[in-house]
Amino acid sequence: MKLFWRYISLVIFLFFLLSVLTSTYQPSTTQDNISIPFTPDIRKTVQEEIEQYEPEIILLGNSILEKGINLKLFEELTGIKTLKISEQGTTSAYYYLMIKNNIITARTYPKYLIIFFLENLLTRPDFAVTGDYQVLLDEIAGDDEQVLWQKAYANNQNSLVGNINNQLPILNERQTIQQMIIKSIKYELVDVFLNCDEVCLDTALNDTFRYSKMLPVNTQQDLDDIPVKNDDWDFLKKIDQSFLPDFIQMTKESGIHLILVREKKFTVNSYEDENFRSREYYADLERYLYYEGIPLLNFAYEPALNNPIYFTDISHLTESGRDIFTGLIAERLLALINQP
Amino acid sequence: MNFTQLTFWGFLILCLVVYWLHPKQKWQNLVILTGSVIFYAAFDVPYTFLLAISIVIDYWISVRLMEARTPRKWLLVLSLVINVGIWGFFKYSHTLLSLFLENPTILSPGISQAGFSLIVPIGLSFYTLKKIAYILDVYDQTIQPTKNLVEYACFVAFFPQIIAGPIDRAQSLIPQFQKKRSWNKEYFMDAWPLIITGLFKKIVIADGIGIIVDQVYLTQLPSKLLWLVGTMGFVVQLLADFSGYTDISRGVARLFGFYTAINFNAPYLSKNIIDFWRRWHITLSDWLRIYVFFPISRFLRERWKNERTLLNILIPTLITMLVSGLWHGTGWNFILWGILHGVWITFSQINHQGGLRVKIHPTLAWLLNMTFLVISWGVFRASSLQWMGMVLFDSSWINGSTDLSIIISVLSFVLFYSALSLIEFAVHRRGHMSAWISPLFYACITILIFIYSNSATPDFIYTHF
Repeated sequence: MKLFWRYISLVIFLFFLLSVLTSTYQPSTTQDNISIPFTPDIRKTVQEEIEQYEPEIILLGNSILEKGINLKLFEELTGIKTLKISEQGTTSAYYYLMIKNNIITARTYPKYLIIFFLENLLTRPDFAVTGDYQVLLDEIAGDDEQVLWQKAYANNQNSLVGNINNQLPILNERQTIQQMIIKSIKYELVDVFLNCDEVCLDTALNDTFRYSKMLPVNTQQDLDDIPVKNDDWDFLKKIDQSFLPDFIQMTKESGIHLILVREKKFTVNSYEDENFRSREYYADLERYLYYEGIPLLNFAYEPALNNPIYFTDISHLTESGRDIFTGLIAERLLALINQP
Repeated sequence: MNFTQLTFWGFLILCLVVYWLHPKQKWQNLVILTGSVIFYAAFDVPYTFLLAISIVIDYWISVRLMEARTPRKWLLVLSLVINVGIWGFFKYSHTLLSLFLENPTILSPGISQAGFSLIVPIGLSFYTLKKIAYILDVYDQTIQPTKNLVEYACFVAFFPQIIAGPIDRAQSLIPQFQKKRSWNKEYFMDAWPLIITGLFKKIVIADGIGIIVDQVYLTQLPSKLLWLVGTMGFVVQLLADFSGYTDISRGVARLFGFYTAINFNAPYLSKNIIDFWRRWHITLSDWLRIYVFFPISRFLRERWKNERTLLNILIPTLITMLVSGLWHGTGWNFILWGILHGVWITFSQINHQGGLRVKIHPTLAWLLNMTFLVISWGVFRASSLQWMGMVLFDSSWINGSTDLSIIISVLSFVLFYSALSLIEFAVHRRGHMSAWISPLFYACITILIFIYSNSATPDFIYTHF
């Protein structure tokens, strides 16, 4: 029995040690308990910018938008005053608050709001809402964000789990730690022996394990065996829990035309490169947007960008890629706006 | 409800509490049986009835076998037909019908292929072997059948074992159900290291490397080197997955006061294939040896009057390994895998017993054996023989520098998870080398289990066989 108690005390000690280390490296994770409402102050800098600049178009996205659109070139090509709002790593929860507390609260509304997204992140309300992102959200959230609270937090974890996660950083950060371990195994040795960095290896992996190069027989079954959260790709299951209906409702009520832009990853060059789940997901998304009257500009298979030289990693563009993408967006947008 | 899910552990705690609250062995057995029914029904309710019916029939046959003036041979045949029939029906009907349906003239055009899609009852291959062994032992009068249906049902459906073994024989398990059991803290002390180690092997090692192995085996045409390192990954994954399952199973059984069979004994340290089969899936190897190999071997010796011929060695071995291949799966790759092992075992037997006696340095022998094992596991894991043939004969050794970077990355995964397996093995081999090293090791792997665990843990590989 002595061995068992030693084991238990060592487990507790290691948990404590890792928790301390985790909170040292991720200090913001434990700052706030998610069951406590956000602070009442709302940063209004974007609202002020809108009121001052009075843009006709607002581009809303994260670092992919930041690196993917040359604003000056975009304005030159379209001849339309445009504002770019891009915050690294943010997704739908942040966009929701930005629309609700900065864009539609401004004295003047833009004519068009263009939201950029990747994969299924439009219907992942729980993505990027803890840790540093929680602090970021708090900056533009009020103290009574019922919808945000419900969709980003409450729907995805009960308050007990939420509280435990926040009290024990290791619980919250375990996936990050696992990813760190896997990343080291995956990249280190290749870098040492072949001087091939993350981008180089990712390019090789994506080329070799491209969906169109995988076995067609039983592929659906085999893919089901791969441990991913299947529900995240079930559009119909996720739509009501997501912020997308709120985006649509808020913009419609304010007379703003909402346009969605699906960004490109260099691993997907054609429909054949998509797996079954994403094919179904996008088919459902397109159907949903069609009925809501929301245009979707899909750049996922854009042939002009079908070359890894335009990417710094799996989704961020280089400067030359950025200029191509900016030109494409401007062209497609003008065609859409000028439609009779 | 599998061993890596929280629901299972909640269910287990409940079972243990109820079980140990009952001091009488009769009630304890009923708790185990009820728990086993709930556990099995959580996978599939209709198949629970199938299991129950087959248990009752086999119990009846086993009791009748001991009565005077009964057609013993016919009862044995009846039991074998039922057990092998059910197993064969679920395991092979889909494959056979698919073959027929490729030729529509054989069946009526109204029959659709989807109509024959059958899900194999979970654990069927394992509990069928248990029941067959029991009936054969009763028939041979090696054991006396139990007169208690609950004891027999517990033996067949014992929930820590029903999904993927170990395939304990009645001689060792049934007497434990007949014995009075009272709580002893030693049960817990034996169980917890097994359970923690099992979870570590499954969640950290097997699932950790499994993702990359799946990628390689899902590729249409990987280069030979990529296939080879991917297969090395599978070699590590399979041992970790299956031995991890067995550790958890043994740990859980121990919590109820049972000793169940050891299934693995460092199989990858074996220096020849015969030794490997003494260390790998030991309960299946024993089963095959006792109920397939020895009877065929005896029959041939009697027929050929004890002459030691090549056929005398080759035929029983080949048939035994072929049965092993068929037991594992329906694909041609499993049959080839069985034949490969049969031939290699025969070669080893001839070398050791037949007078060739080629002496090889132990390290070289180990390397040779491991090379064979890696290749044969590659055949085993392949999605089809056609795919395997394409990899071996059509693909190049390496597809340029990008392929090399992937190969090194995959190799890096293999080395990392092999190192974890070796550390685990070393700590176990040394036993309690120090009062602190063992607890520290278990504490570290607990943290790793915690970091690696997620809601999408795939099933244990052997639950599919």
